[in-house]
Amino acid sequence: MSSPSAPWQDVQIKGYAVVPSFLDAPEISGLIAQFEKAQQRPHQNLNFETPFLPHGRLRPFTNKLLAAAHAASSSTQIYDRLRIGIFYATKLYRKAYTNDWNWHTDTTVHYVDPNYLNFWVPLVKPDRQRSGLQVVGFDALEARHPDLAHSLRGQGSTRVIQRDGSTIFRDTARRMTIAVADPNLLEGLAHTPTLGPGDCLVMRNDVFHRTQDKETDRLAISFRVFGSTTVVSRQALMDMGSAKFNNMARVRPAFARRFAAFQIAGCDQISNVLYDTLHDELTKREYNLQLAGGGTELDDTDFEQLIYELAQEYRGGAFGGG
Amino acid sequence: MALSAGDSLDTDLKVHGFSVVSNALSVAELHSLSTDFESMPDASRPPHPPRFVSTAPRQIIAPKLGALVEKISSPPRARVRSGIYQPAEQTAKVGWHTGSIAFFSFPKYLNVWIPLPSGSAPNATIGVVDPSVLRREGPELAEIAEQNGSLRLVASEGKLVAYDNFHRRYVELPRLDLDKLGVRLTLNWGDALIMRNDVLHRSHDERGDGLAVSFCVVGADTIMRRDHLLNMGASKFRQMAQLRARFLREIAVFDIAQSDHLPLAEYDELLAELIKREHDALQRLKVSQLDYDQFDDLVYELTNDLRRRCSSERLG
Repeated sequence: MSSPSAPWQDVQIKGYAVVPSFLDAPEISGLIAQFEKAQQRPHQNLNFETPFLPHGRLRPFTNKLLAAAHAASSSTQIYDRLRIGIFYATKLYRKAYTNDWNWHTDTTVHYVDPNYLNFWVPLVKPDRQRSGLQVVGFDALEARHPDLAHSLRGQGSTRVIQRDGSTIFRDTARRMTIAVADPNLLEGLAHTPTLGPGDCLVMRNDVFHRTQDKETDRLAISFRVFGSTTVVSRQALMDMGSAKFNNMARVRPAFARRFAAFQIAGCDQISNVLYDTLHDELTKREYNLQLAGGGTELDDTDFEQLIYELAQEYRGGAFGGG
Repeated sequence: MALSAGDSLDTDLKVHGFSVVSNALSVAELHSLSTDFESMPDASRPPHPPRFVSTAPRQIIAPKLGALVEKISSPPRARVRSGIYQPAEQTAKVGWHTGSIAFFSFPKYLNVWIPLPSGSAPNATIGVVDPSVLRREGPELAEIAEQNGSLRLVASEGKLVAYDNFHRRYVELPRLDLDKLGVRLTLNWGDALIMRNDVLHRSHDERGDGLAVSFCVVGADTIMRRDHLLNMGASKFRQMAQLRARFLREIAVFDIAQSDHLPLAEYDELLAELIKREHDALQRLKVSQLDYDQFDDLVYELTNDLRRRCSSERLG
């Protein structure tokens, strides 16, 4: 696998890097077509109404993304598993979804897997100077607020609000609030990469970002690449305050399956490879049972029964268990 | 065992884990609950969202139930929490179990189960397993059930499997005929079964058209604990998420207090303030529910207000 040319060391230093012409024209048009299809399906992500690229459609991009992720990896953090593709749109792109994104680091994915790379690629972007993403590099943050940078590095799921002359960081995973007496802290440090369709902004999950503007019709995809050696823990999933619960509860079936993966394995800490295997198997079976039941959601007793059966199979040697 | 009345009820509760009180509610009170239930939207399709007793009938009935529980159990004062309607069409499938929703918040409570006039049966039947009998006849299960909750038992291929929701485990036990071990109680309309939260019970409504209500009653000295509320596996998360607004507020109270333990009175005070401000915010923003950011803003503001109040009290 050869990786595209980019200042990869910036991913370690700043937290992000830009890769020009990462996707080619056929790849872009294929993804736009997938987005159009995704719009026909019911929303899976009820928090943000951002549709997912089906798992099977990730495959054509695997080699390219993993080569880039490998180049962006460090000796202590290897990114080598492509798992997710999410579409993000501004304005009413072909009647698509619109969101008001202030400064933040992403939440839902971070609750399970604390380290990943986000490959954000605009697919439709009429103006290279507008409707992109703004980011705050850790080099800039460190130079201005070293303690704050130290506290935020390697974290995620943080919401930023401006109140009473301060910038407030609300870390929903650690239930921590940090206030800095500067209402324009992040604006003052922000960088807006100039991106056109197919260019890629690669960023670590701890990099603060926001939508530049919603003035033009822009569609982007965000691929998420994780590390295969990561251990995921039930405790990390369970450590929560109201904001995290609120977020997770809105996508109840998805997070119920995430909790269930630990119960199937009979263990509170598992590799993310096993976690994904069990989670995917449960998703498939739950879907099949729902179909057999005329499309209605499983009740609690049937859901419990399904987890128990899978746990039995795992103990019996299925899915690498035994 | 003989069902007793009066002072011996206290002994029943302590020794056997449950008591039956005759004529606990009047016909009018039962009627208000039945009417309340009938006015609710249909939840007969999976995943069967629980239906809680509305504020008006709860406020009428709570003092009576509180007094009843205080009469038969030791101090401290009793506090009646939520009531959940239990249509037999849903509970019959569950089999032997201990209650879940109330246990998510309270590790120790009394379950006041009251059948409501409904369906075709002339009275109501429910099965309970006396913990002292269970300890003797099924010590392995007793070990799991005692001082626990949110337990469901399923007979499977010659064994009994305990789905221990709180501890997120499945425990396979030797076969045990709980129907034989349990006591089948017949209650007339208006009677109440009061049982500890760790007493196994099951619906015996063979016709499947009955209705009951289950009230959670706790001691006023209860300490609310974040670690109990948030200790969860898949099933608990699934049920809590189904009641998102309710449990969101319960968790938020700990965030606002910035404490992991709170006396019940303090907890209730913060909860009431949160509900009031949430209501005000809905009116002000003209929305039916607060979004993620709006609710978090509310929590942040209340946290700051509480902090300011505490520091001014310290200074004062």
